[in-house]
Amino acid sequence: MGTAKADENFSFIFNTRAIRARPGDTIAAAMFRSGIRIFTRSFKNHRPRGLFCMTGKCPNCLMNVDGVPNVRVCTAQARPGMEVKYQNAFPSLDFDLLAAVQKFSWLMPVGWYYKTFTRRGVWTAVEPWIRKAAGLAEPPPTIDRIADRFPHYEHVNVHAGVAVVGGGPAGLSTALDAAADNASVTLIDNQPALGGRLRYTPSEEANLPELVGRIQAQDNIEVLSLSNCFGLYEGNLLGVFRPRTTPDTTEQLIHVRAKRVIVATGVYEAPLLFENNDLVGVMLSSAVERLIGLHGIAPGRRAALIGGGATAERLASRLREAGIEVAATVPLGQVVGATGSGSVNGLQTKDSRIACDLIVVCGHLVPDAGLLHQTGAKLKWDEAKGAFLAGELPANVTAVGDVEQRQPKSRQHHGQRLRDLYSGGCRPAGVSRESRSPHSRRRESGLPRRTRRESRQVRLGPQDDVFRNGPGGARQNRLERD
Amino acid sequence: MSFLITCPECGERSVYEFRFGGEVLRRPQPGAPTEDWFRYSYVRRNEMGVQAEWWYHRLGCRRWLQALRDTKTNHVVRAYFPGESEEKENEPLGHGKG
Repeated sequence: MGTAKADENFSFIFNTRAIRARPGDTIAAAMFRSGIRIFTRSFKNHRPRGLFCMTGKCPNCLMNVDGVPNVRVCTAQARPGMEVKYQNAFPSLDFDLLAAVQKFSWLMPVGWYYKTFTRRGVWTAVEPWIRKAAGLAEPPPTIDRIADRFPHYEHVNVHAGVAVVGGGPAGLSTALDAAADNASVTLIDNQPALGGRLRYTPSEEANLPELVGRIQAQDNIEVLSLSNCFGLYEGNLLGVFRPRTTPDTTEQLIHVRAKRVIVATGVYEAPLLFENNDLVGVMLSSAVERLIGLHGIAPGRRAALIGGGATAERLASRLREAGIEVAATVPLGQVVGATGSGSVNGLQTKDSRIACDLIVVCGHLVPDAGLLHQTGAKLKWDEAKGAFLAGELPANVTAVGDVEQRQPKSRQHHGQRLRDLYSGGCRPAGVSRESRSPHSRRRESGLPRRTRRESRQVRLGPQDDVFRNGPGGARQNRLERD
Repeated sequence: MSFLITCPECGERSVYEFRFGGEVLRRPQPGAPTEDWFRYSYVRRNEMGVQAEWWYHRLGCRRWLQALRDTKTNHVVRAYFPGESEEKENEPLGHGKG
């Protein structure tokens, strides 16, 4: 991805500046390569925020793209000539006057404004200013202005035998299984290319080009790339939104009606709690891996890792390969907080202070079960399997892969994994996972087994375990609720 | 509300093509007591489970049909034209288990 020829490069406009981008870049990746580190200002205190998740799960990169407010530029694909503008900062992102609000944050607890400005007339006078200061974005002047830029929206109906949501290893192999059963398969993936984490994490257990080649060779698999599946409704109806990616295409709302729905949405990484965990330069490990593996960007020069066990070891070697010096790997229990004003300049531990410009957080992996929750399913902690499993699912809806979260065998095992995170201890031997796949054909057909998440050993148990063991005094929460 | 109804005339269609016509109730005989007519007109069983319902395929064949629908899951067991099935009509409340 990162080795495109120079003549394929293009540029788009970020406020007044031209940003060079390579094919396959997301907007945020191209901007990061051009040296932009601050992407937004926080909602209330206007703290600077940089790239954090790179997967569209956090609010750190909301920008106005071609007149559409609050676009997550970490996942939106860059297009030649597009106009990107920052939001909620004055006079500029790097120097925001409203950041002075931070100095008075002790005066402004949650809801201070409507408890303070109670006199008649005062509220009407200050409300517009508060709204302006604490807003996210200005709405577009009229909806017609957007319609001018995007003259066509399409509503498409797709009927499928099997709809597979998620183009990762689990989704790909399930789609192949279903196609081998002569079902007409629609594979919905929100990434520009199939493969899920295999695209940026090397794996010995699966051969991605071979897998993708087999998918493409199947006539009865239709792939919807860059398509966000936002809803799973009764009657196996999937709502899919496909944004406009090239000048020739239109924004599409796709209704996929399937006889059978297979949810293979995998996991996402959740942040860890420590002081100043929102500074620019604190990133999730998956974000760092994406920047390195997909875009060929080294996100820092000297990194400190928070976490332990095999994840951290693997990540450290990955960082070194990318030319980043790994200053230290610190278990979460040792972390006091990140230091720096605006961006990270070090990591304070209980013993010492580590100078670094990048803090990589190996966060908890949480099943991405939003679609399953929409069907009314609840994730339940399965004591025997030591994992979160989706409860009752409607007929013809199945969950496969990491979204099912079957990993450690027992609670003790799980506890061991959590201790890894906090103490940096060794990871217990890997546990084979039982296959609850609806298709048992996989092994006979010589397909790769669903990739075991060897390296991602941290599993989140009941949440309070984490918070009880967590470092005290982590006051700065990542999401300001106000 | 995104389930499908298999219209006997048109096949599997989205529920948005149909108009709901209420529970299927047995009409009292002419001259039946006022009580029966009152129940037929105003009292509903509001079944939790499978019940027979009237549906009008307004954006299709424009015929009235009956469907057996599970009100808990919106699963439509079967749809048929009235009289073409051995399915019994719901007893008005007060006559059956009510």
